[in-house]
Amino acid sequence: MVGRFRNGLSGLYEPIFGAQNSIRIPAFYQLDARLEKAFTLRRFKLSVFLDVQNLTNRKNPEELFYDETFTTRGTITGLPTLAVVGARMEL
Amino acid sequence: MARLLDQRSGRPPGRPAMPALTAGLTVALSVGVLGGGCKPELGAPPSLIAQPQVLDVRPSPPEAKPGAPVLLEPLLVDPTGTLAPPVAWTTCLTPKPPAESNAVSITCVEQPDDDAPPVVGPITLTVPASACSLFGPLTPPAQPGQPPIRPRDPDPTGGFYQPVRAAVRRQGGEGGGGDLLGFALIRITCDLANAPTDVARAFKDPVTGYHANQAPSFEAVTVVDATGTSIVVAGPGRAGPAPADVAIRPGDSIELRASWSPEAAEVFPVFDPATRTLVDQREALRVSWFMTAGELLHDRTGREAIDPEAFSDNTWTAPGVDVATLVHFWVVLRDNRGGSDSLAFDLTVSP
Repeated sequence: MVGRFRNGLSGLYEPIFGAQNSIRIPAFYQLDARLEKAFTLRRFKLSVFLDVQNLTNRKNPEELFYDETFTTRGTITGLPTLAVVGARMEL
Repeated sequence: MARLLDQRSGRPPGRPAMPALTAGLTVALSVGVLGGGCKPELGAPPSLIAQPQVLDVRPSPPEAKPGAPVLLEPLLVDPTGTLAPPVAWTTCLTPKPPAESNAVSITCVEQPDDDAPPVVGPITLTVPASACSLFGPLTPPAQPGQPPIRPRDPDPTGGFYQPVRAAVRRQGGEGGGGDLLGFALIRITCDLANAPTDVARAFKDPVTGYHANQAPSFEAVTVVDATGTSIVVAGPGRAGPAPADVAIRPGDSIELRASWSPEAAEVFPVFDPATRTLVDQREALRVSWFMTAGELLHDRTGREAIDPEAFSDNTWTAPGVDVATLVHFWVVLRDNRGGSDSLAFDLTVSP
């Protein structure tokens, strides 16, 4: 987005786009960890796990957006630290 | 027979493992902190004038035939009040390609200014004679080496619009003090296309048929101050500071009411291609509110087409100030056929 203009019919601003691919979303990195323990029982196998995504709680930009007047740009970030405790049973 | 089991999976040897999705049962519990992925609030509200802006480019009349003159009046403001800089006017002659999502072609946004010197205040321009083929329902002229393209589709009100660019050239980047750009979209009076003869005749009937859009007009803006007193602060022929009896303290919530004439929301016929008949529509009216300090409850208000009321309310919270401060306001009234009106007024916040 390199500019804006006021649409006299709607009263809203409209963006003036720059060249395609002339802007990039900032770099993305994320540290995930997973601990899993499997137990073999008589009739099935049971696995329990703890899966933690985005261990460093980094606010990774995933999308750009602008305010209604196209003067301020922000980013939509992904999920914060997300821990999942689970179990899986295989017959 | 000895029952041999796979030591790791517990299944008989040679038997393929069943896909986890079908044979497995997964139970998971999320204990993470959720709440990411939301779109946060960003920037100042559109109603706050913190830098120079184009608020409106008003065409008078708002609808005209090709070849007719139209008066164009820009409304430019900044935190100090209404501005009157030289404006470069450029008539757009390039239709918007279907692949572009804006209201006007990027060619018209970026094309050089016309040779005429910039003008302070209103200007009279002529709607191009080819407007109905460039932007309207007539088949556009084919470009050399290009296949003919189909005529334009009307907007939901059956309208077609001629864009005219108003540009105030300034130093610096856009958003931080660069060029101010606004487009007037003049509704063009064109013949009805693809309609049966009797419908086209009824559409052109001077009494019961379509009438060119007339701009809506404000009657007044009133405020209700903290004492409950309703006072007119703006109206046709009235501008500048509000009467001295409008008492506003920092943090006060002030009720604002913009009212217009009941005739402002016109009824007009639109050709419905599904039924191939004329259908009456009524204009919707929108009010855009702007101010230089404080906070408005709504950036835009208005009335839908089915709503017969001729006023719209908003609430302004006065800023916290230590000294008497003049706050500038502008309100812009628009119908959905390209007509507009505006009013300006000032309120003083006194600690």
